[in-house]
Amino acid sequence: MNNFSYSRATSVQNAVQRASTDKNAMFIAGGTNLVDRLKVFLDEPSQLIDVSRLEMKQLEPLASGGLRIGSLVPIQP
Amino acid sequence: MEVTQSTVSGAVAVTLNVNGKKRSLAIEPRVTLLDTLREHLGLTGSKKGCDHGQCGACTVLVDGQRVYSCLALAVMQEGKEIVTIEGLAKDDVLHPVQAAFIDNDGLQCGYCTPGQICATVALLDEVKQGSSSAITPNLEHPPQLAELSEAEIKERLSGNLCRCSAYNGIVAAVQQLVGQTPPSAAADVMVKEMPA
Repeated sequence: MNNFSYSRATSVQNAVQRASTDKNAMFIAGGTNLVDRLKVFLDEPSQLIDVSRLEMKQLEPLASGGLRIGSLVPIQP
Repeated sequence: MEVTQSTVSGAVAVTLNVNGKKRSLAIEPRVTLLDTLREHLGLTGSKKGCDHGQCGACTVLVDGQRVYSCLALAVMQEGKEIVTIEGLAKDDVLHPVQAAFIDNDGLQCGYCTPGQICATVALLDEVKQGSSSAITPNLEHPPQLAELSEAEIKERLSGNLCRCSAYNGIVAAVQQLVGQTPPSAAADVMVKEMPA
């Protein structure tokens, strides 16, 4: 795979701000899908923004009766 | 949290906690955890089977959870506790999972075994914590260790392939570990006389 720069986002806002200044940036959380794609050059990002440590791991019941599942909620608790 | 920003060309400084030791490295962000272990740290126990997250030979433990190290970037593992097959035994005393694999012939060539054993260590922990699997009938009542069925064991180790097909021995090893009596590994290979 091509090399890329790596940064660890400090907040959701920080992650979005970083991505908005580089159209070839991609987010990475675990890597199971993305690293596989990088290896066969399906994706060639200039930088990876690590969002894995951000607080998006909540399951939130909503007043309307729905459930908001954070995008970093793992399959296994 | 401190932001680390690297340049495209160069290596970055990464400190990893591997088998209880801090290891400081300079590696490019694209280097996988598997290549870091094997090529930079000399820990060749973790194996590169497919390098695409399909075979499980590279399975290691990160903060107690099983991870395909071929699909994990080393730079992302800072501050996490990484345990490989080399970190399971205590000096000359094998980890109980290692001993159970030997007792039950849970291997033939041994190439997938480090991954199988790391996966089994995590599997036992997952069951203790009440994790369900894709085939658990009632998610409200995940199986306890003692009642873990053969089908559950096979499902929960389905991320680790064995081309020698030592699966019966691997399942028996897990059964022994959870306190069940595994079936005899001795296969009935005697050719019965055919009736005339």
